Amino acid sequence: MARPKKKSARQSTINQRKQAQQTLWFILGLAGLAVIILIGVGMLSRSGNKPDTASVIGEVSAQDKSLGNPNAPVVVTDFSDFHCPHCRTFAETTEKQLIEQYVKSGKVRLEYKHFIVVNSELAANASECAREQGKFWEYHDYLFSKQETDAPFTTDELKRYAQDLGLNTQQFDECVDSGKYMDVVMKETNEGRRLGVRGTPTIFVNGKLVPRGALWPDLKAAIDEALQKSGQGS
Amino acid sequence: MTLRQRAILALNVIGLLVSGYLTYTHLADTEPICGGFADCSYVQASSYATILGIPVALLGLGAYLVIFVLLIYAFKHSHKMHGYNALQIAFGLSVAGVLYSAYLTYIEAFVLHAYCLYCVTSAIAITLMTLLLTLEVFQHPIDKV
Repeated sequence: MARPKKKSARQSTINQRKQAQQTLWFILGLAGLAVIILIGVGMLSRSGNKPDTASVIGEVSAQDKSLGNPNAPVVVTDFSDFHCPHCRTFAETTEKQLIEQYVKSGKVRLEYKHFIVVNSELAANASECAREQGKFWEYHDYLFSKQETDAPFTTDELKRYAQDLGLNTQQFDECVDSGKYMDVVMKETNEGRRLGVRGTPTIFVNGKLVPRGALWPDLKAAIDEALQKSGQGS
Repeated sequence: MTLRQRAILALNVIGLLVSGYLTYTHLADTEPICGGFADCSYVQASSYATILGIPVALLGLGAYLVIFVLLIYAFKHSHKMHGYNALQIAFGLSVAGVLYSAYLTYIEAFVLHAYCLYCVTSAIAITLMTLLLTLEVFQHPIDKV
């Protein structure tokens, strides 16, 4: 009588072990599934986020360092420096409003010029290398978005950003390493000096320096005045 | 508690501390102190650091916390079936953690080209912990359950 009982006890142990193993595979399956879902959701949410910087730029035509209608009655020139915090603020606030309200409608063309104040020659040159590949404004936005954490930018960082933006890295790296556009950077800085730029950002509307032009109300007033003069006032 | 169980818990605590710190810096919007040789803030600022707005560090912290509670329970009731089940679930979560950490480390190495000291620490901790947990699960005296 004792034998079958013992056997059934062993049987139940085996069953228990089998069950535990099944549970284990089930749990491991769930774990794998969870990770796949996690990675999938991450990828989907990222592809949805991507146009963030391009959204403003994508809707207006960009030529080199200009943005908007090439024949716009009013030209706004921004002398700026990628290391300068006020330039970042301008790029992220006033400039966005300017693009939204005037550049998109073709009334204003925005152009960017380098004015080196805080040892940002490398970054300025790199932005020219991005321009060479038709991605100046994307690079411009990206640099400012990284300024707080990364500035002063190193050559490695500048190259990495180009990679992030999908530029031709070989061409970009060569351009950065050789300082290909340093003369352009210096030329524009000198041009700014001649025009009376003393700090950044300094804004011109149709060649006229706008005091406190980095502030939207002052810039908007200057643009409206210029539009009025050109007979296209709103 | 055996030495191995203590080691598992110690690794779990390392993971808790690291992910807790990264969650804190993410939510408080400060830069992690990085020891100078890694790019913590770059990795943390990248689009890979959040999923649907949730910081990945917070996910990690949550997972480490759940695993910790399960392990404490499992080790206390290691001779009971529900204790063993808790161990199994902790093991499953931990395996998921390893797989996801592997993915994140791959992103750091081949997409961002930057490493984050704390993320790598967490990846190593969860990997070691899972290895020890594998032994714990498979060498469990289930016959005595």
